[in-house]
Amino acid sequence: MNGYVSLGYGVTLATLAVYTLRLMARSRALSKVLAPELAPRTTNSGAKTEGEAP
Amino acid sequence: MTTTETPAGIGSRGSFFLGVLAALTLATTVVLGLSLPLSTEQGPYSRMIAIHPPIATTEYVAYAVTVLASALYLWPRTRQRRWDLLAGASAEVGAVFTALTLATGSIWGRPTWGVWWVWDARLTSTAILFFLVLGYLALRRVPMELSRRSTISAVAALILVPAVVVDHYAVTWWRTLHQGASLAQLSPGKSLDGAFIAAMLVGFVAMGLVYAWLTLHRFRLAVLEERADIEGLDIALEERRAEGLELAARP
Repeated sequence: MNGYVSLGYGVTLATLAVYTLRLMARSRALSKVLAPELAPRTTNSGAKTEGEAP
Repeated sequence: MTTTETPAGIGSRGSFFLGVLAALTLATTVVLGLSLPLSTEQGPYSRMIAIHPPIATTEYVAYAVTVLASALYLWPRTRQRRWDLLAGASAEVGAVFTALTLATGSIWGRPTWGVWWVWDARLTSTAILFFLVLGYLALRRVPMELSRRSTISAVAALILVPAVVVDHYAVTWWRTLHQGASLAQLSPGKSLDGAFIAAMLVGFVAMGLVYAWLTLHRFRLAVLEERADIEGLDIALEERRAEGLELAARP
């Protein structure tokens, strides 16, 4: 296989993979920080409130 | 202005299937692209056709979404936080695709043109577009009142319209080293071109799906980030208030 072609495909796949992993890591970190706030909140009647995830 | 609901994380069942579909089509693109026959003009280097034009086109789609979302944010009747966050998310993913456009183009150019870079109209306009988007993303991080920053960012995003138009038509408006539109040069009647067209079309679908998946997750992450910022500010205010009360209570 040609080196330049391999480099082109390799750079593309590696960049997309790194960006995806960065998104996942940042999301995981933020979810931990916000975890108590993101827990489904309900009123006494059990109705969903503003903070609950869709 | 309405607020955006916060998801509990950035994944969902729908986005999982979208991700699987994106990964499968991307894998198919790689297999099809790398198994393309050698072309008479460019030898093995024409195999880059399966990824470079789709990445470049997806970059335009990303900026179109940014401009549309910015316009929706600026229009008083449709102004919602989600449009501002979507504009930022799509621009960031678009910047990744623009960087890849420049990188794969450069890698393709080295063996076919003999140089990694040339100040050709298409290459230069793509580089300008890339730096404009980096500027836009930097503007979105400037510390200032949220709605004011969003409005300024939305206005700034509109500059992407002429930048994308110039970038797209650079190959027809100026005499360039860069070839013209890739699809226009291929003819489906020939069996060889058919394989190239098929690989490139699968590439378009793959990059489109990858863009959609990344933008969806970046948007959800932006919602979380904004919530963390607001709650961080609330906590700081509570702390200052408690300090104030403590000082006032002292004899």
